[in-house]
Amino acid sequence: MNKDIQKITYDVIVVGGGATGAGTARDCAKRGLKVLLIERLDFTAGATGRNHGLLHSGARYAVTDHESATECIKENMILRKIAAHCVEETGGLFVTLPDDDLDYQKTFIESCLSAGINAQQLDPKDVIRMEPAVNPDIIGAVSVPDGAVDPFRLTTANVLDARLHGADVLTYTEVIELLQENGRITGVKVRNNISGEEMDIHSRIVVNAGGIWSHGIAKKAGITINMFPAKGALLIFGHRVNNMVINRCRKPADADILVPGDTISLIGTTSSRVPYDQVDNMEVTQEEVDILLNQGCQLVPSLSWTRILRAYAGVRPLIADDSDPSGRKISRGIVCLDHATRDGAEGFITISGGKLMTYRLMAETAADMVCRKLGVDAKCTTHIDPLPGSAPQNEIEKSGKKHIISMSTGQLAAQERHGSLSTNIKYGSELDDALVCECEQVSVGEIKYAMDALHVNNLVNLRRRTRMGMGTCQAGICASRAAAILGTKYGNDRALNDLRSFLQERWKGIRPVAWGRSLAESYFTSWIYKGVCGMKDNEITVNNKDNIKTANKEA
Amino acid sequence: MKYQQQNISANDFEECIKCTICTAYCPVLAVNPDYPGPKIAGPDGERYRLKGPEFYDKALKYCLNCKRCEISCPSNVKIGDIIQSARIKYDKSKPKLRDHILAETDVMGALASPFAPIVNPILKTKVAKLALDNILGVDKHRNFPEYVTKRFAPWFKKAESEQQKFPKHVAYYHGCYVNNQNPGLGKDFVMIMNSVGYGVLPLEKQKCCGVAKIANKLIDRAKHDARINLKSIRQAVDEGMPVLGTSSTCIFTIRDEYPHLLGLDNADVKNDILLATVFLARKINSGEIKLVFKKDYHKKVAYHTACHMQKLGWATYSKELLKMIPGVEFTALPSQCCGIAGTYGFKKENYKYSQAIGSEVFENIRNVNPDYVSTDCETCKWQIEMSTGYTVKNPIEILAEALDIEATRKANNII
Amino acid sequence: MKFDYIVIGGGLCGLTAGIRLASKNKKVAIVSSGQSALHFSSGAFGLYGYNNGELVETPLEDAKSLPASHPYSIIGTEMQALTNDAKTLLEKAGINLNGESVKNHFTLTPFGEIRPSWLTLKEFPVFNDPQTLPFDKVLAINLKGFLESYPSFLAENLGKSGVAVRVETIDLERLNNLRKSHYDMRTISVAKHIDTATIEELANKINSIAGKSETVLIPAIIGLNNSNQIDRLRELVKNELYCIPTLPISVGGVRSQTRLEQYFESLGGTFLLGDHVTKGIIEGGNVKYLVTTNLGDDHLEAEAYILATGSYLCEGLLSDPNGFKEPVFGLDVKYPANRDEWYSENFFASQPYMSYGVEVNNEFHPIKDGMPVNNLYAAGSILGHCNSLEEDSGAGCAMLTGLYTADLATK
Repeated sequence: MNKDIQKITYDVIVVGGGATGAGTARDCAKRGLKVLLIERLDFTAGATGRNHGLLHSGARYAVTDHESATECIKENMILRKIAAHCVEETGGLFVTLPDDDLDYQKTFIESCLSAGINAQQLDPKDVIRMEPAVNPDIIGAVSVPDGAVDPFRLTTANVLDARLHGADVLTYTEVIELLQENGRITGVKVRNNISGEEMDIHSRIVVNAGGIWSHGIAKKAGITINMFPAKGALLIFGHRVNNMVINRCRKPADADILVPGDTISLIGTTSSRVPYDQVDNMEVTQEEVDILLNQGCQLVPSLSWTRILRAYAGVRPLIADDSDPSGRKISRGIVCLDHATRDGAEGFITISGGKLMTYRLMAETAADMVCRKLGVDAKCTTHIDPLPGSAPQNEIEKSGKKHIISMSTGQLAAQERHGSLSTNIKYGSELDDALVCECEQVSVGEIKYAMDALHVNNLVNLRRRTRMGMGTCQAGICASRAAAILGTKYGNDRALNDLRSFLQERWKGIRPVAWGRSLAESYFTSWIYKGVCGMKDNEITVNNKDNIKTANKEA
Repeated sequence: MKYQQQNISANDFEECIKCTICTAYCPVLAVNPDYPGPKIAGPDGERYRLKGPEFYDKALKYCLNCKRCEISCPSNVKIGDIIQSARIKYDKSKPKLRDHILAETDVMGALASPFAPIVNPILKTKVAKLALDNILGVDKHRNFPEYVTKRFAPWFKKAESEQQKFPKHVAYYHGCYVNNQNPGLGKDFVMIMNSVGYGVLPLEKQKCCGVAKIANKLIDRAKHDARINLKSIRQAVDEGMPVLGTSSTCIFTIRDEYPHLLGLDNADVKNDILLATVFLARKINSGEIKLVFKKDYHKKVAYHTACHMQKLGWATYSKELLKMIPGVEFTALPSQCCGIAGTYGFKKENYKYSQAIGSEVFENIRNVNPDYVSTDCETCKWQIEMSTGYTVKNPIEILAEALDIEATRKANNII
Repeated sequence: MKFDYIVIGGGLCGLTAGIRLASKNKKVAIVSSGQSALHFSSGAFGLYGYNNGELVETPLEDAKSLPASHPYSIIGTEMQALTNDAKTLLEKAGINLNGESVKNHFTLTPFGEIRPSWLTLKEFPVFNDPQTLPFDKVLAINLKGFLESYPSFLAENLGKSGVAVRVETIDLERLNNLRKSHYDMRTISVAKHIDTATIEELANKINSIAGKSETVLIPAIIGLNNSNQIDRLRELVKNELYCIPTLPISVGGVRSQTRLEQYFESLGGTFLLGDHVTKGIIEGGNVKYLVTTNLGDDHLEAEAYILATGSYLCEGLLSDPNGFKEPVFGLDVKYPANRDEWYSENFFASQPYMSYGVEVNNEFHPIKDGMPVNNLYAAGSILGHCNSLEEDSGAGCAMLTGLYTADLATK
């Protein structure tokens, strides 16, 4: 850990490497503040990386929550501009199935229009042509400007921009104490989760953007934030089943959205309350898988015979509305708490509630509050300035990469993943062009770029930055190749241990849906690593705390 | 749960467990670094193409459609079909004049045949070869298969009334090769069938099977011809005749590529479309017919399993027939691609890969040093003859050569 | 088509059974739907390597304590004789091996882990004591741009055992063209490029960098068709030289498969590669015939049949959310109803699903709807009650049950 950081007094320390934290760090840095972003594990390790990746038009909230709907459509339009490489403009449908009430459609369209969402009624016959995956029995359909957004890329882009504007960034760095002086929060005591080292870092403001973990962070200052963890489970299908987002036109319920994202499609979600002490321990149950499939197959019948790659669950950081004295009413919108006025703790802000779609607006709200407190007069520009990687496509092509025929699939795929930043990936040398991950077409060069520039400590990080290991074989044939490259930077002992925990992490998501060819695939993976390579069962810890255990061992 | 009873998406591409066995058996991958190989071009690539057509890689054109990936796949993924379907669906480049000339085997045959004595020598001249090479991109090393003046079809038509006299009948799909280049093979086939009591009748109408048109993306033309062929085949089957061929590639195309690549269902007649050697071997096995061979016939024969023959799974029948000939010293060559793959090897850009792919086959043949190489595919014949100098014959031709006609007729009670 | 015997499945088990039958002058066909899991073998054939995670030293002796339902228990006293026959069979096929069934020896994995083995291809290092490696100074070699070999991991793990390992990369000119491929600098393609001249080039390069007392370990990329290339390289290299397995598909696996296929065919066997048995018709407790994709109306008929279709990898065993099934005959497979019980949470722990397979009686006749099928035998990894990955008994189980059922069928 860089001890020099202790000598600096930051204007603001942002705690939490999800989209909101990264966005807040970016916004503050762009306004000229000296920023430190810390994350206890890896970026997007929480709810940011465990949702639909849906670029909401807001239509889903239009009937029940006008305010959220309006926020969504505004942010939707902004993200298309500032985060072009993270967004797929797929368009979305709200379809009515024979069992659903077609009258709801009218209310739905009216509510959308009043929120500024361009909702258009379509003839079901046309819809079946537009999106052949949809259940052909639909009795109604409405188009809305939904899309897909890649939360990993979006968060990484925010981190990169924060860094470009002078922010410091530390991952695997956990807040173990909030430093206090005369009732004022003056910084954080952190522990490096890889080395175990601890140190104090000072700042004028601390922003708590810890998602569901905000509760625990605030508690370190004796402050109570009432959070209601709500688990949502999703299934990932082996390929892109649909090309438009397909929603069910009814009151929001389980498993009624199918989102195409990059090479796959996602169905979700379920919704269930979980105890706070379980938020680090999300397992998808058999019942949840069954609900998702039963509902999903009604929306898109082909899901019944499409391979499922994995199941995962995230925790929505729902937060109690301070206006309700009983503490039981959940706030649906963005909650930005000034703990100075609320709890008498100056220099401490919590930003929570909201959703991935409104991360930028949340960041703006938090940054506004930070600036007010610091007496800084700087305007937010994050709604105008494109994120790194979002430069127009024609600039990318000019960089002229070599492939004998045209661009290889791998180069095109990398371009989609990193946008205009893909020019930083080395091509043209035989060693760098070689593919590591064949399913997701990730080259040695791209792995090296991610390791050099994108805060990669382990294979899980690498997966989030590049999609390595996210494809059909779920890292069966590329994990060892990637581990060997990682070993050149972090040593082979650490790489081997990391390989073990990476395979464990992959299996956790496969297990709930391990049948058919996915089970055969897992058997093959076991054959390779346990059989051929002789990897053994030692020192494996089954948990979802990312790679802490492995990392600790290395230290 | 009533869902997920099977994991089968279109073309089975999701059955793939990424075991990479197919890559070990792809003849192109090992010699051409620009070709991504069956796994990446097939199931892996398909996922990307479903994401967006821009992910179609033009290097898929290097696939020679040998189907050895499918044969080796333990998961039954139709890898070759996925690749060829992708070429048809996504490759928007127009076929070149050269591709037309190579693909339109029937038209070319019809045009060249009357002038065969003139055309054949011309095609052999250096000047013509260089012109073909430079202007059209047909590799100068290639010999164009010679055209005949007297094509098979007219002879066959004339023979019809004689053939009708037999008690039992089969229909013959002779294809372009027998018609334009090797009528002798067709006549040999008719002679063998006659000697075991079968009359051989032409189909009502027959067009080129379309294998070359499919390979050169002339899909509409191929479909047009395929429909005509299927109609005639159905008619023959309705009349109680199996439809036999002497080219493994033609039969393979009609049986497998029609439904898989052209979307033309043939399930009702598929089991009635057979290679002549398969029909004969089955009839001999069931005791319905007998072949008697000349006592003084002595030849060393090495059998080469053509890719499509391997895919059909029928090499065992052809080998069995050849082994039945007492005077044949038989060797089965390891089943490998010879590199020609129909029109593929004729193209200038593929020539060196074509020869590199076939090198092991040629080596194996030289080691055996046979009198004849035997194979069920005419394009393999061209490739092997050009590359090794050995004479290549269809098993039917060897059977005919070795057959004691009179004794056979007697054994089958044909008067 | 009529044969004396038909074996369904052309992997290690099916080929062993087929060869055994063909050597008894029987007319035998093997139907193989694609290539087999033998391609994924590292080159070390296990008989019985682990018992609940503990190393097994004397596999024949320890196998006596296996549960009664285990295939080895069904074979019983004939095991030792069959292990000898198995080794002889492999040697006759031209597969050269070290090892005996009385006592396991040890060899190295691609990561330098030490693993037990019964028979190991001759190019790999073998040793009798897992604590004592047969070398103290090693030069571990990789090829430029080759991602399927892990000398750095090898160095790490051997280093823990006190072996000094130096890692060097060699650039073979012959591979320059192959290296241009983004996709195919993989084991088998590399092996296809190794010719006589390349063996010399490799030997010269090794000789120029190898230190005096160093043992040279190279990735197993030579000897795709036979082991002559390996012998030649060993002649040319001054130092002691061994191969280390690569990740699948392995050269040793492909070579073993090819040799066995050729041996089977040389005995007059018919190998139907790429054909798929879609249905097996059972009437009155006997298999009547088989229907295959390629042969259509021409059904396959035999006196007896051996089912050696393997497990999950090659679709011998299928699964869906409701359970497991054997697709050719619909034979009985036992498994718990609750699918949570099919798996262990820990990826590296013993996975219950791996021991599911068809039920057989004590003559390896599989059970269908509670009744044995009399002219059908099941062998190899399609058998239940054996977790071959956990026990490291895959090759042993495949070969011994293959031989045993072939003998039963011809009795």
